[in-house]
Amino acid sequence: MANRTLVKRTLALNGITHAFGLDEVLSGIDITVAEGEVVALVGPSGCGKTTLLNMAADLLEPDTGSVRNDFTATACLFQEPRLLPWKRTLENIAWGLKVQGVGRCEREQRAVQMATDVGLAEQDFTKFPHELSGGMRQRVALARALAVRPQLLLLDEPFSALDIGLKRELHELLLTEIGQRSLTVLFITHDLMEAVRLADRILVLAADPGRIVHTYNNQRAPQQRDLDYQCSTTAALLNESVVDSAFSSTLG
Amino acid sequence: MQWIRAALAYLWSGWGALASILLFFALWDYGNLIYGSFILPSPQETVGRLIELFQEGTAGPELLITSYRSLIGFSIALLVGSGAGILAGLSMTTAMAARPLITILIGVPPIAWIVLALLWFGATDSTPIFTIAVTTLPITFAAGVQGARTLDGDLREMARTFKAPWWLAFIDVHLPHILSYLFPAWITALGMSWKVVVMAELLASNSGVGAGLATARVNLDTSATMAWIVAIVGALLIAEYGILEPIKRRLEQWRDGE
Repeated sequence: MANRTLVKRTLALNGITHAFGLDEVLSGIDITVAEGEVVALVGPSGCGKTTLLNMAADLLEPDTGSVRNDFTATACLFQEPRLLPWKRTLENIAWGLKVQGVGRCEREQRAVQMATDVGLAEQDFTKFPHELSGGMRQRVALARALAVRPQLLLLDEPFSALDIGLKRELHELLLTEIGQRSLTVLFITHDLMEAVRLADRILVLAADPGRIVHTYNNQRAPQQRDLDYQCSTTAALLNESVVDSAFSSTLG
Repeated sequence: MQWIRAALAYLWSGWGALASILLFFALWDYGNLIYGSFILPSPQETVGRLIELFQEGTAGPELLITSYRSLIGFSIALLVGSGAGILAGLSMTTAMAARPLITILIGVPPIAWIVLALLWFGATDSTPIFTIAVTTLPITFAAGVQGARTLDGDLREMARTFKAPWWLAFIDVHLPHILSYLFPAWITALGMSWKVVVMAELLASNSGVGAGLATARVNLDTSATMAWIVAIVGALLIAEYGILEPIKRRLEQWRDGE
């Protein structure tokens, strides 16, 4: 961190409007994520969260508006692990490094280090994805994303398919990694409580078309966000009428 | 160590196959008891005749010629068909356009191709090679199209987020998937090429196993006919279980236990 410049890097999405055919999915979205921030995008399904994240990941061009990403390395983690079924754990973790042209030896060393960091046991290193449990697979995917030493991490509901225990474990793991690697994170979730646990700032999206209706700045540092705080904050957030209506409008 | 164990396991798995082959020989021998040697020579007679053919110096060279033609034709179908199939499968339009063409090509009887090839190339090596290539190509092509059409969009997106160059994405992300479609098609195409080559030789050549069969027919030599059949089937079994199947197992290790 010695050579950190004075001007902070940012991920900035400005004036984003996007339509699939005639269906307007996003309207006038402005999001800025500053270096070191953890920002959550929360909203009901179908509010365009994933579309927004795809734009941030440079997978999709918005109809209007601009995306600026100053970070030199960006990595993504999806709801499904998206591991290569024909590659073993270490090869999967090292795949991003292979893309970067890192040599075989260094690749393997870094993969072993990453695998250990995310809590994989040595006997899992040579397994194929179908031999791993869901939680393990998501750990491998996280290790693969972190192995390329990203500055910005984009997460698309990475824990929503896991049970509560595994989810909590991976939350802790993620917060540790964020702290140690001073990562900047933009993640999407439909789980408000998860957002309260992980994020410094929460943006609530409403659907039809997707737009930001509420912004909440987390009052506590990550290690002080205990279960009571998570519950009361989530309840308080849901008491906001805009948040409540954002989540209930999809039922109608 | 690991590959030695894999090789032993592979050989061990051959017992079941051996048992069913022996059962087949037993039924064959029973048929010989009922119909007599002129209609259906016994396995012993057939193998004896085959050994005789080898000793005369006919079987060896003829088998080599046939294998050469068949493998060249098969390789053309394998490379051109699979490659073109994958390319066609990458686009919805070409995949749709290719479908009826494949059906038409598969529908043309191999025997018709032989007649055409004979008119075009005469009684040369090109006739059986062309016939094999043109009859097996639709099979490998269709498999290539299927493999490329069913690529996993999620994995492709993952590769894009890592900014993977197209060739690396192809080798690591797409090819293993496509191969799982191609391999069974290659095995089918190989079997087909072995059948077609004999037919083409019988009608359009004076060398190879097919020509040997033609001679046996003229001489009403049933045991030689059976000997040639055993030789050609044996060669196919060696090609399939000695070469293609082990490669397939090696490449599809990741499916174990799925």
